Amino acid sequence: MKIYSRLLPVLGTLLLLGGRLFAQDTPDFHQMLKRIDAQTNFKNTDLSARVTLVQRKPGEDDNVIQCEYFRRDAQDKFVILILKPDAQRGQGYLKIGDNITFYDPESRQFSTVTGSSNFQGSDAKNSDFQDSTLSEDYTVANAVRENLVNKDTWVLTLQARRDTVTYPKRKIWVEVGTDLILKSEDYSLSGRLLRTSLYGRYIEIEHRFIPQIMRFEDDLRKGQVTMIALDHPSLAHLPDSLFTRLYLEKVSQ
Amino acid sequence: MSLASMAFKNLARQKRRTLLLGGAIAFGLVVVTVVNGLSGGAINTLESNLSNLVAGNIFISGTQKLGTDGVEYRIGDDKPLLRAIKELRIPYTYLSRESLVRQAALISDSSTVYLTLYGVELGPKSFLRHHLSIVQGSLDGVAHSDGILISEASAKKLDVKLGDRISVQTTTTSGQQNVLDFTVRAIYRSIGVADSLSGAYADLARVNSLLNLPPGDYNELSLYLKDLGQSELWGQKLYDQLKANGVPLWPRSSDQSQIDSFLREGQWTGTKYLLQTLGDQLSIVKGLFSALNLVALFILLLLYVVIMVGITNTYRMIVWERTREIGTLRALGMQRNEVRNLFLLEAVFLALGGIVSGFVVGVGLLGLLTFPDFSIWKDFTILLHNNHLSPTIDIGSFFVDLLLVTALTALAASFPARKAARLEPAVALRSTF
Repeated sequence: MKIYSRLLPVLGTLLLLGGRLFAQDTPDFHQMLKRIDAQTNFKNTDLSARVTLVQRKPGEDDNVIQCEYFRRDAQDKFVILILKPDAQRGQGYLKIGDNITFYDPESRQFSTVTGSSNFQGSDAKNSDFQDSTLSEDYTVANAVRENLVNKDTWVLTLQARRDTVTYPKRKIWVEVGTDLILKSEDYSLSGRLLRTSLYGRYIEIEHRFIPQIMRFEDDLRKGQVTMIALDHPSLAHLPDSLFTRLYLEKVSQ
Repeated sequence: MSLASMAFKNLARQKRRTLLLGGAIAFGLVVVTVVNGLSGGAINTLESNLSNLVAGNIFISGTQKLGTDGVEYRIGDDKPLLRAIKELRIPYTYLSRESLVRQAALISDSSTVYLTLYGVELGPKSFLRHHLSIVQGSLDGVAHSDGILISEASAKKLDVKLGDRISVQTTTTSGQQNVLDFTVRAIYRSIGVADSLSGAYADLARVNSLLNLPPGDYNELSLYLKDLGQSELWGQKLYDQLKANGVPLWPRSSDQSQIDSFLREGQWTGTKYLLQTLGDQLSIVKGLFSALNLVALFILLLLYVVIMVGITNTYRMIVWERTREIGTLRALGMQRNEVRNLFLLEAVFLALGGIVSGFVVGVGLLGLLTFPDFSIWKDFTILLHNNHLSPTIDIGSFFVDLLLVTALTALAASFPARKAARLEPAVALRSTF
């Protein structure tokens, strides 16, 4: 009994020290989400790039779509203008705040689409082209350390804060040290894995990071994959008139 | 002898000529009767078939404003709607509470089909039992289960059979991604090109889970009227009654982009309802058929312009042939206007004979067209009633055609008739023809 009473303070001290050491090693994950948002968003500049999207479906030829991509995160806006194929040339997307509008030059009509709708029937969602809002949309429910292709990562399980967020649950693989997302898994409300996304070749522009290659694998439709490549990224200022319906109408003529 | 009997006798004297002219008029009327009968029947059958598939001809959908985050489709409190229906004593066969999932993705191992999934009450009193032709499986046991009812065409495209599992992907009412698995329990007969309109059917509670709607809620209330033809009448009455009862309503519209703009408009709160009839939803199709009828009428008018020229020329010849006869009649005391009326009466009788016989032949042809079984005509079964054409006969249109064609024929004959009336009896009698 005497031995136990002497050992207890020692064990307590060891546990306390261990806990502190572990706490020092465990980052604040909400801050991590904020850092991810901050370093992938362009709040002080505009962003433009050429986007090439390749959609691969089993038994079908690849569908290649080329577009111009313009983003103004400070005002929560983006414009995507389809350049190729010819059949879709002139179609465009305009996001202002929560509203995303699709323009069809053939009918000369605008229609409302949602962020959760698939972009041009691919596995990319319209919301994949907007700024990152992980820290606003999600809380971190769980975090584990994992090795992903020889890279040390934190695997964060995210739960949506609101029922208007496209994916109620997500898992993201965040590289330790850089806070860059290397992989994500998106789940439905019923808990089914819907999509696995891989992000590669981040390029740094003025202390901001943008993935040059993204790969979206459809986990419901086996073998269906969408790859997106970004070229010629630029932070040059864009005219205000570009983020308007009028621009989409004029440019498609 | 009266002018009318003289006109009849004159027509009978030249049987071949009368038959050819009357036949030309009759042919025009056959074309119009058949085209109008087929298009009118097609609209009626389309409405009837779609009513069967979408459980009704009057629809009320609920939209609820979610702060700044958009719109949620749900009926919520249905008491004011049911009260108005009861107050008006609307004669309906079924009242269906449904949760619709537009553009739901049905995913099998080999393919994906996008269509409307209807969450409906699948109990023993379900409208589906009376309105869908089940070709495989049964609706028994589908209620309160994960069963799904799909069309033959969807089953073929998805490459699934009874008992197979398929996933259904959609967004919830608030916009989240969701997926649930369903088991194929029954397959119904396809309705051709409109197969995508018919969609798939599953238990209301299961579809509510997919949409993340509370149990017992739904997003569309449908009425299946006893008389399909009264959907517009009762739709307007119900709209007026709801408005009088202070139920918040969107203006009636069949234009989806207009409805979208209503919903986007920020200055509203709470729940508002949209009332539509099947006619509103089919306005585009109806427009197409109306255009077809207009084209038929245009062709008829062109045809009659040609026939009129023929009638004018023929009557010029008749007047020329009967110059001495006209002289004799005038010498016997017949007045100028009587001579003119004689020729006009001949033309009117000719027209009436052609119109009536054309209409009778047209109706006969339409009757014959109801006999063949067009079940092999799979893409257009939506336009068929039990695999047969179901044309309509519009008596109103017949009388319009009757007046129009008679007037045109009389007009064509009026020029030679007036010329005949102006002939001097002595000059006419000296004629050598």
